[in-house]
Amino acid sequence: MSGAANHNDARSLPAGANAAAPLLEIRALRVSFSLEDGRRLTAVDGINLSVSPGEAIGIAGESGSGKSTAASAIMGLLPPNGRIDSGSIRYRGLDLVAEGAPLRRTRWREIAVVFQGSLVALNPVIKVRDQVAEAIELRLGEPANAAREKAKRLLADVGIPDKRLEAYPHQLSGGQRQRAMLAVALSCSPAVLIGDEPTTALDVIVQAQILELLDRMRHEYGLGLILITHDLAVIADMCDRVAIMYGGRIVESGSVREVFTNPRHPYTQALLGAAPDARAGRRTIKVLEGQPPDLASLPPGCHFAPRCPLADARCTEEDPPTVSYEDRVTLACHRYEPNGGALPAPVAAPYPVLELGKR
Amino acid sequence: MKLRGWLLGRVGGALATILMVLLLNFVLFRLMPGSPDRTLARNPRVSAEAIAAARVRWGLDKPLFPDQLVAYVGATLSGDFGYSVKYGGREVTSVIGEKIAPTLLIVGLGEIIALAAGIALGAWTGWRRGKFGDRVGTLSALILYSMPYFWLGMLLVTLFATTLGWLPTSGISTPGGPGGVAGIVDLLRHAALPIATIALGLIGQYAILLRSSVAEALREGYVLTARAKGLRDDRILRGHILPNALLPTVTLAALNAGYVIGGALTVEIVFSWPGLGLLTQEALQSRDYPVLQGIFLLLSISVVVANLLADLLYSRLDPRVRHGAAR
Repeated sequence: MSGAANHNDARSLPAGANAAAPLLEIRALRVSFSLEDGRRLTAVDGINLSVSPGEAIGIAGESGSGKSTAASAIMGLLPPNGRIDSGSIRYRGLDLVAEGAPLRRTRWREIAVVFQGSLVALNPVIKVRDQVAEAIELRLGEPANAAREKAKRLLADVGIPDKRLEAYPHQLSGGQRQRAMLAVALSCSPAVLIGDEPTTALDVIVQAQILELLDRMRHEYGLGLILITHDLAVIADMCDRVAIMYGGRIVESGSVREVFTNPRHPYTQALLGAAPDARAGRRTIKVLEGQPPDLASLPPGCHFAPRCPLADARCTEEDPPTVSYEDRVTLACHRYEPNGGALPAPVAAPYPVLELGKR
Repeated sequence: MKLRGWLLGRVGGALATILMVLLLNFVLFRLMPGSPDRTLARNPRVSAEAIAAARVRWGLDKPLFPDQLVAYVGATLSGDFGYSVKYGGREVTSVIGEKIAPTLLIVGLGEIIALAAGIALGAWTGWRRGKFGDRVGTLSALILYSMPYFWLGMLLVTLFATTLGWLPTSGISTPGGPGGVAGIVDLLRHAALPIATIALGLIGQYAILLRSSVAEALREGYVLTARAKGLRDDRILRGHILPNALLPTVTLAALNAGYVIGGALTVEIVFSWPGLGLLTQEALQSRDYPVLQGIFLLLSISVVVANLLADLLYSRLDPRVRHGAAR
């Protein structure tokens, strides 16, 4: 699609942005929420992340690990009780956290989101075509007719048949709704697309179709894709790099191939070992005991230490530094060499193993 | 066309309800102690023959069912509501008819003003829920909502008519007053306080309902999507929240329209406004049953029609209901 290809070459950047700067770069981002009882809950605790055009980054972790909060922070859509304490989010060099950041300008035109559950993310009383056209008209300033035409093309592109153009969200199937939501997200030709659990509510077949579509759009539009999910299989299929989050921190990151074949952080090992692997013929799962940490009263030291089979005294006292190895993998774990250097061999954490029933 | 079937069902249901009301109207008044011929029989100078003749003339010699019922329903359907006792035997239809316009004037205008102001106040407070402006706005709405009409009316009379002397205290026009344009101004001056009373009493109801639906809508995913799209606040409110949040308010307004006729009772009494409310009170005091029966029927029909209207309106506004019904 030449139309899709040249829009990114010709796109005008917001004032203050620099085409040579990285597409999206997050540095030492800390996000916290104030609770009703006066305590503060640290949801994102100093994460670093970057994405380049055409690249797909997966962010994985349990619920409450901070992955969705990170997405809200990028969009500048934290709820009223949330705030960014420190760190930076830069889009092409433009600081989105700074006072007076041009969020109105960057939202949707530069960075768009596909939320989980398109039934609630789409407005129930507005036709899907109008929901796609809305941002084209109001954000790109195109005339209503042109916006509606473009919406029609976009919806066709994501696989919504012409006869469904005038449909309301409830008249579409779950998969069609998510396709429509994708068309809404792509309506202003953003450079970055955040998928916040975009396929979680869908059944497996539809999920595969949506992921395929997402992948096609990423290549067609040269999107930098941030895929937030608890489903590691989705990340394995879709992403170039992965960041594993636990208790608001990225505990391990690197290429999908490296992290998934040689998981080094004990938490990554537990996460990857928590599902049986039919293809590998593995019939055992690793059992991760305990509960995710209470983010409102985090213990000192490594957030994972209370559940880690390898934890020692130092783990509960000192925060593990995030160390980069050969620029391929970052790790935040005291079990590994703190000075970086050569990629270390994985240290297997001795989790209890559960044997699944044999047939 | 399944939509037409649905529509026919609704209209049919409304008609059936009105028929039931007719039946109730018939039974209710015949359950009451006494009857016209017995009233006649109390007069010793009325002969037994005359009473018998009256019974024949009024159809009382026939059994209640089916003859009397059929006669009543037939007469009612053909617009014959009988004759007023109090108003010198005038036809009930004309007695009631001339009171409809004054009531419609104050209740209709009051409703429209209340709806517009209530929507504005409800949207404003809902958007700012929890903030200072919301607290002040919601408290005011709540105070207005809980004030009885007659009291609110008396307060307004005390302030604007008695103390300040800006507006007349009661009635619909100055006796012997001017005609033409000056007459219309005179009418509006008399109508101002009743309209204000009805409007103020209703604003709170609309504002509180809309505030809660706006506050609820603010938590919805589509509002987050609208924010993420980078839309301006007023666009999010008007383009995304209100089309959803207004649904219950519009339904309430349509339902309230059914009480246009009866709702003004206390207001009309406070302001001696010659409408249906005042007529109802007078008819009650003088036991003018034919007039009461007529008002009762008119009231029921307007409530049934308003319900039907609310139903149709809701299904027009909410595509989920529209298609759910058409499916």
